[in-house]
Amino acid sequence: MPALEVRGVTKAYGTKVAVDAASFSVGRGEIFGLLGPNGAGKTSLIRMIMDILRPDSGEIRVLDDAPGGRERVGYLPEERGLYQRQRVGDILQFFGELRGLPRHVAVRRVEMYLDRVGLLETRRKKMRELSKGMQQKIQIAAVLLSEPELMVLDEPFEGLDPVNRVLITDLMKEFAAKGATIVLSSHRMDQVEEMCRSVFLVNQGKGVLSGEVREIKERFADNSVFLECDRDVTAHPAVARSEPKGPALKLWLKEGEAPEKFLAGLIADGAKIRRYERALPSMDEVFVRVVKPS
Amino acid sequence: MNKAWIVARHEFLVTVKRVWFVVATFVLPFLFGGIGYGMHAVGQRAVEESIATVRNKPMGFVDRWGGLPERTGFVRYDDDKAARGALIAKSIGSYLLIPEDYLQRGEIQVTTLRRPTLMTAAQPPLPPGVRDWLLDAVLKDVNPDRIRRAKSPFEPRTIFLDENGNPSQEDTEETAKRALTAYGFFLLLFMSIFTSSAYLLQGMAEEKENRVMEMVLSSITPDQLMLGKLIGLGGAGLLQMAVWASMSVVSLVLTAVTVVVAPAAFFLCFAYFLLGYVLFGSLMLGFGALGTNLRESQQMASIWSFLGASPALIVIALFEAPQGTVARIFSYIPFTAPTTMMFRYVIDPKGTPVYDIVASMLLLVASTWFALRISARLYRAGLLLYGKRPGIREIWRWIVQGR
Repeated sequence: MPALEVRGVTKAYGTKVAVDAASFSVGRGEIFGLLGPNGAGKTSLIRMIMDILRPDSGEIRVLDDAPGGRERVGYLPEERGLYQRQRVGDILQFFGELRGLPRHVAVRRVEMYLDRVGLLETRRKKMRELSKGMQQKIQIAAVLLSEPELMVLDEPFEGLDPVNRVLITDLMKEFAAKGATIVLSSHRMDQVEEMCRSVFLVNQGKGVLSGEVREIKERFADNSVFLECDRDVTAHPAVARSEPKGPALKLWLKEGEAPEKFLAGLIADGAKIRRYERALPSMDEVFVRVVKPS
Repeated sequence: MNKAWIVARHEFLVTVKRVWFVVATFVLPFLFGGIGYGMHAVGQRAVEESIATVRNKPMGFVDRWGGLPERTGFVRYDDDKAARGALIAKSIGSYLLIPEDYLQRGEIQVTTLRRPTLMTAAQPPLPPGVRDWLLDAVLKDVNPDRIRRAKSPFEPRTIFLDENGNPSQEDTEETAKRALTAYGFFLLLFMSIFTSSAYLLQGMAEEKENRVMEMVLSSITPDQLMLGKLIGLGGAGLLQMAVWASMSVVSLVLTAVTVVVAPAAFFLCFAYFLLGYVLFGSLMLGFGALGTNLRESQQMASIWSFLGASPALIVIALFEAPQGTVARIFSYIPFTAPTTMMFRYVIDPKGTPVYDIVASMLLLVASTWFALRISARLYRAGLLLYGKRPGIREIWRWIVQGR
């Protein structure tokens, strides 16, 4: 059974349709990317998943709709912040208890997860005394401390430096490895590409792309390769056009020319090849290609 | 409900630990009391100082009428010019000029260097005893008993009868004390309800400004959140009211003022606080949620504060006629019922009809229930509004349709 199933969900605000018949499902233990440009309807969709908004039609099943399901879902919203005038430890304990943790467990987990994000010494500090990046990590700790089975994280890397981005990425991978499901909404396509197995791309309220990252990239591939070798192949009859990419060349092969056959031909000609690789588009390129026409 | 309790405990603890709550609870009453007493004392002292320049010096007099005897503290001058010279030389503070036709017209002239002030303009700058001195002179050959009566023609002692024709046991001093106590209850209730409601509004506006709301709402329903806030901050308000009430009792004991307040008054005060607080608190939360920051939330909720404060406009009518038409109308209006009804009951416990109390309570309960429903809808709809204030039509749609 999937951890999250969204079936034909529609939501309108007056005459504006924010989400139009969106459907996708996320398997247990998967890191899933929910993508889309600004104003595409992602936040509405996420709020409906979190039961903060009700869909006009369609169905959303979270963790099989089992009792207490809400407490097993962690949420990091895009519009987020914490009580600025309260102490970090008190805030986290409050969120832990709201998530159903007994008080003594919440107290223990607060220490544990503050330690995990490297901020144990801030436990008695007020939120307003912390930097933006530190506050961001506290918010992530607030989500993690209930050890949810499903996490919905909207732009979790915003405001983090590269070191902390790696720290949070590793934590998320660790949770996923233990069986937690993560729905990740982000504009950082490199991060999505690194972490997500599948994605759902929404644009103007409609689902415009879904599937596994690898399969999507294959789908958008344009018969090009990266090549580094000891000779100039730009005039090769199989090459339509070329473009230098660092020490390598990106070659667009003519229609009908198979990359495997082109490689076999080069080897047969005695070329010394240092690098040969299918040039798949990045998720950034896929995103732009799908969204730009609209 | 369990989550509402978690929110209630959190809100209670956060609020009572705040410096401003501690200051408002323990320092503000002393500050208000001190300011009130200080203003009164300073005013009195200023008046005394102003008059003292006249009263602490002998007074001169010029008797053209010819009937005034000599008297200690009064210096006789033969004419106006001599008296005026003494006044300018500051050997006297003022002088009287008694004209020849004093007996026919009763007019005397008081001359002084002191300038009239706002507070003392109406008080002639006369030392004590001038009135008796003149009376003694006018009634020179009259029986001393008649002179005494002329000086103090009557000392009223009013007998108030109840509906059965029996004399009331309550004297006027007791009535005055009761009126003051009623006003004290009025203020206590008003301040408790609106201080607690203000905490609610402030807390919610802060949550919106800090963008905490969405994270909270992922763990708890808006109704649970609203209930938890109402309970937690209501508890803080009750604590504050209890402290203020204790301070009032202690100060009354210390000043040896004994006022008998019916025990039922405390029960009624508690009940009216709860209902009034939930009514105003929920409305402030609901309408305050429509604002995008504290200032806007306060604007949205200010109408309820104004309605709640309106009984202060009729406080004279409440003093004079606690069972009158105006007082009864205000007792039936839910927004004014808690303070008005409390005032009426404390000032006149026997005269306040039980059905007035019951009817006002029932109306208040019904209105509170209605306000809770409307406010919960607005609260749900308004919580996640950032940077955009809804229009009247949108607000009406939320009230009617829920979301």
